[in-house]
Amino acid sequence: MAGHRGPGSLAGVREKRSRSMRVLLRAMFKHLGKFKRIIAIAAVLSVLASIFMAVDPLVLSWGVDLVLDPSSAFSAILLLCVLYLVLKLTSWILGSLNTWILSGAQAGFVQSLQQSVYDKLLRADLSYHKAQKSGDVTSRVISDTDSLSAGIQIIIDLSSQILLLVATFILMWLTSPLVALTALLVVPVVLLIVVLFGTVGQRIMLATQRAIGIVSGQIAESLSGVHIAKAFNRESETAATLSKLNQEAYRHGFKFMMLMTLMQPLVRATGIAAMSAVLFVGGGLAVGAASTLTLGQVFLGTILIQRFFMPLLSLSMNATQFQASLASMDRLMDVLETEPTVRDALDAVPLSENSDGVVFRNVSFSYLEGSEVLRNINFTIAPGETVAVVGHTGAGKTTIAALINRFYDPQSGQILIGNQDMKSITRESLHNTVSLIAQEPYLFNGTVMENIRYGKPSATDEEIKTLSRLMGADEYIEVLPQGYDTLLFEEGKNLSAGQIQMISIARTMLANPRILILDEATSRLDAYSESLVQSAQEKLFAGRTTVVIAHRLTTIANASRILVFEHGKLLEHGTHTELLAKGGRYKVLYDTYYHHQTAGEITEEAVARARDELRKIGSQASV
Amino acid sequence: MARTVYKSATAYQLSAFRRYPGLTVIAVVLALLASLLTTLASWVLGDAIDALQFSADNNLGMTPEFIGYCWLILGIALLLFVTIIVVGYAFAIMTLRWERDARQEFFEVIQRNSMTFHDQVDSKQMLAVAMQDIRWVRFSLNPALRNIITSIGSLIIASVLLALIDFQYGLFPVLGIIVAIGAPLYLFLAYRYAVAVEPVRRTRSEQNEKLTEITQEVFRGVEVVRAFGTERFESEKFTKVSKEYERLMTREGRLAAFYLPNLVLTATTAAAFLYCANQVLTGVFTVGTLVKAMALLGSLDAFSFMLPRFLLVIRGGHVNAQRIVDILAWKDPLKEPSESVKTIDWNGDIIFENVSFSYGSDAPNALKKLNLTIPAGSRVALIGGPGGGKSTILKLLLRLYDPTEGRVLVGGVNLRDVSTRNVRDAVGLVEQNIFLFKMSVHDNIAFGKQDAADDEIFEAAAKAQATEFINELPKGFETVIGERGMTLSGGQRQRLAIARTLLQDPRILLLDDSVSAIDVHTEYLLRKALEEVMRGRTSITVTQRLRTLLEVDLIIIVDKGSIVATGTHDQLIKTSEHYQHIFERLPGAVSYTGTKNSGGAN
Ligand SMILES: Nc1ncnc2c1ncn2[C@@H]1O[C@H](COP(=O)(O)OP(=O)(O)OP(=O)(O)O)[C@@H](O)[C@H]1O
Ligand SMILES: Nc1ncnc2c1ncn2[C@@H]1O[C@H](COP(=O)(O)OP(=O)(O)O)[C@@H](O)[C@H]1O
Ligand SMILES: [Mg+2]
Ligand SMILES: [Mg+2]
Repeated sequence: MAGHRGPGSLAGVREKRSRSMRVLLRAMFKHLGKFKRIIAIAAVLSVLASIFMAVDPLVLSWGVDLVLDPSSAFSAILLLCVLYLVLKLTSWILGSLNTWILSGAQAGFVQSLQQSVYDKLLRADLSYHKAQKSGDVTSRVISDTDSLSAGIQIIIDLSSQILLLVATFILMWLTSPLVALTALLVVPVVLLIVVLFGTVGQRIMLATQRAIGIVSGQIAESLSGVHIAKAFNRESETAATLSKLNQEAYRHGFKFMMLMTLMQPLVRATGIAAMSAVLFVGGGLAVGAASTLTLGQVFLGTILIQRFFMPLLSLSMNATQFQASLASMDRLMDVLETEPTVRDALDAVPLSENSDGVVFRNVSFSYLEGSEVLRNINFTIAPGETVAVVGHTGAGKTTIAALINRFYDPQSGQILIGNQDMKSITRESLHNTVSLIAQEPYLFNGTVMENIRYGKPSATDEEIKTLSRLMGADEYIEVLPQGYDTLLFEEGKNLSAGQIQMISIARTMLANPRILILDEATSRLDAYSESLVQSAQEKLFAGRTTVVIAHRLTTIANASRILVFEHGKLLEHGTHTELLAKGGRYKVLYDTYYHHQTAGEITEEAVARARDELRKIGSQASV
Repeated sequence: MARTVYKSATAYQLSAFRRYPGLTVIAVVLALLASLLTTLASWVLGDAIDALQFSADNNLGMTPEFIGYCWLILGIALLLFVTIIVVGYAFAIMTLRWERDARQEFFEVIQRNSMTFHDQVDSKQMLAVAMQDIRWVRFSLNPALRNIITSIGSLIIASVLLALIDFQYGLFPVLGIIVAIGAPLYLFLAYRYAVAVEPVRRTRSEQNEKLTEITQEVFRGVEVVRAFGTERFESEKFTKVSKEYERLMTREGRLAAFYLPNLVLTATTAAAFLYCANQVLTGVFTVGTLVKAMALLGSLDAFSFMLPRFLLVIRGGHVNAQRIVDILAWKDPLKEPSESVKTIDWNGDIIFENVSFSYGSDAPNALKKLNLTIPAGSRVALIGGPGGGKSTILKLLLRLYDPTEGRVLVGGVNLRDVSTRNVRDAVGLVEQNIFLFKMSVHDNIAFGKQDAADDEIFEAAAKAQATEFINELPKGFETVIGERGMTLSGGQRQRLAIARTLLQDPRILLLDDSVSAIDVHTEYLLRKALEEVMRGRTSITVTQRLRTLLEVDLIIIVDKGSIVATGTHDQLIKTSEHYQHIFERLPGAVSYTGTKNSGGAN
């Protein structure tokens, strides 16, 4: 069957599918799920409707013949008229019922598919998400499901269109084989259209889409960076760049539009020309000695030719859309069939109440095969201990945090919470126990209150406010336009950087985890606010297991032990004093830090003065 | 470029045609000609049937008239073909150019709007307006308007031709009456359908936007979702929105069922048939006339469902146009001076005089009656709590906003009297949240200065202590930075941004917490390089680093939009309790003062 290949295959630019059509169709059918029955009913209705539709021209042609016979009675015509009305009405009702039923089924199908894709993606590996271009994931959930539903519609239409086509052709054949053969004249035109659209059309369409995509990307980028264009007076260059891309998109778009424009006259002119041909052939048969056709039949022929042409055309045009639906199904199956590698074991148990502390045993990890980010890491964080992780950027600190949250599984080695292997516990219980304040704070659209509550959905307003007060976040939130009810949007662009970080800290502290991880959590706060956060942390998380990651050495002031990382290796660990005494990497870090921060120009005198002043305050404060 | 002001959404939609009045007239006339040709074919069909008799004139056995009619129909088909193509071409030219220019215009206008605008709007939404809304307005003109003209033209011409049949026979215009009832009823019902569907469709597409938005949001923050284990919560949130979407989609689909205009068409056809057939029986009409009537009505069938669909697109396009016109009409509070002051001493004192500022009319003041003098050429450190107004002060100096009250003076000149272009040429800011474009490292730095030479770029990178890491990147300076520069570490991004600003060679340098992620050693080198560059120029640094505080000429402490204290370190440590608090907690302060930091690292 030639249709199998579809017009897209001629273009040679179609996206490659990784699955065969059979597999995809079967998957489509499977995902119809509970909608199978209702869609079958709709298909039957649609077939019935097209049967009625196919025969109504017959009635008109009988009418023409009837009136040509002077002996006919008006009542006969009336009867035909009623018959015509009944046929039309019936097909109208059947068709409408079909639409009615199908609308619900289709919408329901789309929803259930969206939901399963969404749920699947929510639980997909983080490495999967990191590898996706922004927008791709969203189009899986929104556009691909929609395109699939269009594919289902096409399959349903397919049966009724084929039926209409065949029925019409049979009617024509019965009327006159010669007329039927004449009708086949439209086939080359249909082929021409199909080929035209399959080759040139596909190519132009893809080029247009690409050009528009580039324009859209350029606008998106320019709008996100508009403050930079302003700061450097580069607005006109940005506009000029867009203008060029826009012109390019116009050029492609124009070609595409002309192609589409060509299609309409081609179809309509062909319809009329075919009518003329049928009229001519039919006319030849109707007159002459051996008149084989009645006038009514000639008329019938001219109607039927339209009924033959249209379904044939839409049938072939649908092939393109159907290919797109199959491609969507293919992409969806990629999502639906991939099992996350990080998932609960079948026999996973909840983390036990008294499992606490973190142990890394020979842990090696790489994000991408071949470049190890952590190499054979061993350490133990005792329950209730506060441990600092230090090191240069890229040392692997954030990666340690990610592994404790089980965002990824290490390639080798073992991570334990208490004495339970992380892979043997449910992730839900893990995430209820471990909480992370991430390096890049991310806030959702919604109010400040909602964002903080994200850490503990059952928290009352009062609870949230008390916590914020304790952290010193309260006064920074209250200055916002609507205080706690201020709406944040676009990741909190209407907030200052420090405010965003404060809210993200509050969110995690509210969750009240047994094990707390802070990844450069206070990097955007001034020293004073940082100290408030630290004392809140001391108060709330005293005696809990805490991992503090920082490159600012004061941030780790509360830690009892320090782990020093470099290039993915744990170089040394111990208390501050031990490490300084050891004179290793930590000592170097520490010395550079203080050297560059303070040494040199500060005179002893200045220090003494400052010390005195601070003493004074200290004594005041303690009164 | 002068800004076009659109009086209404309709004016916006029609501006596509206003630019080409001649072409518009031709296009409309030809579109109507196309309608005429379509209906004419049906008319000729009837005549042909009447002419269909045996004739010995030629070996085909058909009368020459009949054969002539067949040719005529073929000719009509050809003419129709040409006409529609010309119409399509004319519409394509007018509307696609309009779309291109409208998109460009929209972008340029909102780009020129001050940051006040960009703070208020969601950039994703603006993108959607630039891409989708403008496309929908174009759809409303082409194909919708184009097809509506042809459809309504056909309807009217067919009605007139039908009425003409009775007239031809000198009869009472029964067909005319049938059509006169049928056509308006048909149009009315089609319109009513469009009106009923429109709000549903609009809410559905809004719901679709919402669905897209929550999906985008959740997957951007998927780490947060994972960390809090809120998958189920998010899933339920999605269910709620997508179920609503399902409901609307169902409703919209169901409105298309039981589409009444089709019945009207059927009834009209049946009535016309009955009447004509009776006339044929009684010998008044020829059978060709009957065919003519049927074919005319049949030709309308093709438009039947198209009409409301296009009506919908036109109405929808109008709503979109309204949205665009409203955005374009936004009044910018930041006005360019009619004549920019030319001679400004950028090295002069910077004075904030009673400056109050709020980001929006309903926002509280981010700066409150601020008074501040920064002596010429001094190095200044700005410190204070979150949301204190530090970044805001810097943004005012760049004239990204104007103060709501009070004045900002540089060298005695009010910044309001200096064009933004001049201000931003002289003032350079390294912003707190670094934004890098999806371009190469080279181009990102080059963004700081028009037509920068490669040497200058390398030099700027070197001063920013960025050369070393850039050379380690896969393609050095040609490495393309990923989405939002995510593949670089925070410290690397900050150094690129500093290089970009250094390339600009500003007279006043503003650094907003720009070294927070740079390790101390690199920062030390960077500081040395900056000292060199900024000698004799004014610089303001927002910082958390002790060393900077000790070195600067002036420290300004702001909190909740007000100045708490100003002075040098030596002064402040004596006089300001606030500063003492801050200093005490600064990294490094402990070891030099001997007071114990809360906790203490041992
Ligand atoms: N684009 C904006 N739209 C609305 N409000 C804003 C915007 N930017 C800042 N604000 C508000 O203005 C106030 C001052 O913010 P600003 O960014 O100047 O603080 P900051 O001192 O730089 O703080 P940080 O140390 O956290 O960066 C804050 O209350 C903040 O919420
Ligand atoms: N998602 C990722 N994919 C690939 N490589 C990554 C990813 N995240 C971090 N890396 C790489 O892993 C190394 C350690 O990074 P990270 O743990 O973020 O360091 P730190 O937090 O100490 O600055 C770096 O070389 C970094 O480039
Ligand atoms: Mg990190
Ligand atoms: Mg700031």
